[in-house]
Amino acid sequence: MTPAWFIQSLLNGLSIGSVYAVFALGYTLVFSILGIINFAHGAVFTLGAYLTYALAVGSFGLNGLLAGVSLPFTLPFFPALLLGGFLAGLAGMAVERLAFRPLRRRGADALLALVSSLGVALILVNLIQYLAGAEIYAFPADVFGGLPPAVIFRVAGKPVAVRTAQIILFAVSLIMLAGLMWAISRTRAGKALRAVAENTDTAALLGINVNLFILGTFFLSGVLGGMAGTLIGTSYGISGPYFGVAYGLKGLAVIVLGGLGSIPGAVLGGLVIGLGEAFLPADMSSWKEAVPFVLLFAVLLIRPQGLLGERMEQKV
Amino acid sequence: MSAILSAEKITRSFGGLLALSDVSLEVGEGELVGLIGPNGAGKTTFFNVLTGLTRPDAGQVRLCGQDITGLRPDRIAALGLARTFQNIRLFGNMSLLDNVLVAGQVHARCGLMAGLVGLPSGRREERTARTRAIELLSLVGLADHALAPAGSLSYGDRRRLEIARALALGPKVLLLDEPAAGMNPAEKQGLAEFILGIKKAFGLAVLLIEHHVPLVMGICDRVAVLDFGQLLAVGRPEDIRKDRAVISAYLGGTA
Repeated sequence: MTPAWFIQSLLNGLSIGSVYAVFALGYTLVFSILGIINFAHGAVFTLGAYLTYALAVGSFGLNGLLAGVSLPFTLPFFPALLLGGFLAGLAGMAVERLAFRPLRRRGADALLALVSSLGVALILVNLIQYLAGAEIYAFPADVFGGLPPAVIFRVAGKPVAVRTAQIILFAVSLIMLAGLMWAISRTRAGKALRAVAENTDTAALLGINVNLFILGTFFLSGVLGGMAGTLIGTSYGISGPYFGVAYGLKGLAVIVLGGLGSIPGAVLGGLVIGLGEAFLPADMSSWKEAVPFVLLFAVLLIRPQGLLGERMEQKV
Repeated sequence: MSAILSAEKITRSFGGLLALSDVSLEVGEGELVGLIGPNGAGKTTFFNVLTGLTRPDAGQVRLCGQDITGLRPDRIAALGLARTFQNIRLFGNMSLLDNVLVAGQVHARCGLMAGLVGLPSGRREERTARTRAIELLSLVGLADHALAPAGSLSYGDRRRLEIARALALGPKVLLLDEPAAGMNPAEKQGLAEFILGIKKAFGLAVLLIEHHVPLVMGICDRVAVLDFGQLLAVGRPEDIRKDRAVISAYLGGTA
């Protein structure tokens, strides 16, 4: 284990781990308010990546319904990322209106919403496949404009390379995480959101429009998911309509590892899993997909409530 | 005296259980009305109907003449109806200050976005809201602990914080659900004075559910008695004390 390898792995791990954290926070926000996992989150992640790709590149390949159709304009990467995130946020709101609210209004068991969100996920993924085909999409090499593809420096004589995509991943994720944590702990809207999370009835009796805040939460969750999808897509390519499935599972591992419903927990969980993957020795790289779940298993043995989760009282 | 809050012929059943049957009650401006009755008489259900948590099967609720039946709870709260709970419902992980600030939001004029992006108007409003929240906390004697988590308070202090939070809504009518529950006699006496004090200071009408009959009889202008979802009697405390139906149903003994 050389110092250069250590630094390289650390940077790789922080970069991907911070995106895991952003993505997982989308689960956490909805969970802390409704007490349920939104299974459509992975699909919104995929959708965000496709939307940003469409906005930045202007057209989709050869197989889907949209083959041969191109946008009259393309956007530079960052505006495309933001607009793609915004549109993914709208998709998140649609998930709430289609999969969650109708059941909530009828007083259905919360578990049923889990199933209906899974249904919405399937619809979204198949819609993407229908429109854009099943092929792999990679963002063009010059997607960041004139920026060099990587930064290379030496540690103890050995080169360490950090790709520009990784730096952007890390920087954008950090800004989003910091902004979200600040907004939730300091602003009026954030306080109201925490009130809704603690008790929806009480929040409503204090004048808070609960459904509006739930809708807003799904929007935020969609933005987080969609932008995380874009960031991972720019770094590793979009592996087709089922792009989000593996990340969706990984995101679940992140929030359970960090502690369900805990925002700092989601961030810590994301970083732990990102670093765990990055520090996997190169000759074991075929085990990479197993890392989150091995870590999850190990942590749950010792702390069943997750790293930063609160122990749940058994309600009789 | 004009009624600021009026419930007309409220009926609500849960399955086969008639929780409220044709209950009509008015609360006048600046009036303190007590609502007593045995456990399960429908008192809390009545509060839930008034505040919009439970929809009545029949009947109408009016606040300042406006029909508020079936409105969303947050709309009703914003129109000036605030309440506390029998089982205190604070946001335990949030500070005392934040508990009160959450309730003050309905009076924010700038949108949430202005506060979120830190526009000057939003920041100014945030400051005003904080000042007001601190004032309310000092009114209930909790300003020294403004930044402590609400979960750390003693039982009596939680009751007072819940009242401060309800007051932050700037209500016209305050509904108190068993505020003296679990208090010792001295605390109950203090609470009675406190309720009279805030009623006067804020020009409130108060509807008070309470089991402690001497407290209710001592401070209320009028008392209503609920039994098995039926309104047995409404009147001045001295008349209620003599009411035969009330005595046999609730006050105990035979007259």
